[in-house]
Amino acid sequence: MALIEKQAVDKIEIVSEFKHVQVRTATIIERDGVEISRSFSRSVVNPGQDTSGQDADVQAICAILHTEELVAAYQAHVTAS
Amino acid sequence: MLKTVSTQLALASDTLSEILANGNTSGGTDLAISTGDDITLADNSKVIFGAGSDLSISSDGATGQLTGNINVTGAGTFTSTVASAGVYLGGVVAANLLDDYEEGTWVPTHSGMNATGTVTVSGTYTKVGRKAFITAKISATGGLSPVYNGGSRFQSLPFTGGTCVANWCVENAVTAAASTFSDGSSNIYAPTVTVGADVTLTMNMTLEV
Repeated sequence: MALIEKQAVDKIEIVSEFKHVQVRTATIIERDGVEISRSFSRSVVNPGQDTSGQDADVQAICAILHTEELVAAYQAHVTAS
Repeated sequence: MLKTVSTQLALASDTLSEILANGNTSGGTDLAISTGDDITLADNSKVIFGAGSDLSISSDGATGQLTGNINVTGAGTFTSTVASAGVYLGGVVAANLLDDYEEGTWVPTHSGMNATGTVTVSGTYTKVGRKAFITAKISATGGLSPVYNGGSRFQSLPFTGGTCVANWCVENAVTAAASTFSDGSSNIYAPTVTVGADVTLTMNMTLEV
């Protein structure tokens, strides 16, 4: 019997005018190749946030969406609020 | 003698179960369908269960119909694996569709909590439809002294959403006040509290996402 635990980003959502990237990571446990457990954890990548520790797909999406203009607009919004 | 369907039908005393038993190697009279074979019913024809027609399964020509009171027993669960699918409750319009439920964890970051000693943080969430119920917890063996509007806050919320009000639970609190969360931000500010050692500060918030 082999138990394997692995993690995978299984959902990426883009929300709000500032294009926050919501990332869901699934922790999957398999017994002999059959999934027996799946749990979730979440995080949000805000415009301008360091993405070096993120999944490659998340990095690619943020690189496209989080332009300098968007980051500046978001920072101004945060300062104002 | 092996009977064929045609010879059985010619005998008045033969029954459907007897005919179905032909080729059933178990010798019983259950209707057994081989792998890949089907039972095909026309539109509006039903499979009816129970003497009182407790349950029926049919198609109205467009949508499958499961009619009757259903009890899921044992270890059974309803499963909807298509992301856009869901369950209509109390009606069949979009407002009645429960199409998202999720439980999980997140890792809160914090600043300005003035936490001392061994500090532990954890976070959980439950999302039902467009509402996310989020909890963040910080424990410090040496005490906490967050200051409202002084930059004390939880950050890195698991969802981004609209305005909400958070409720705080503080063990050994001297004072506590409600705190607000601004649209588009990812911070949740702590109330004004002064707490003793070995304390836990818990934030519960509801967020529309």
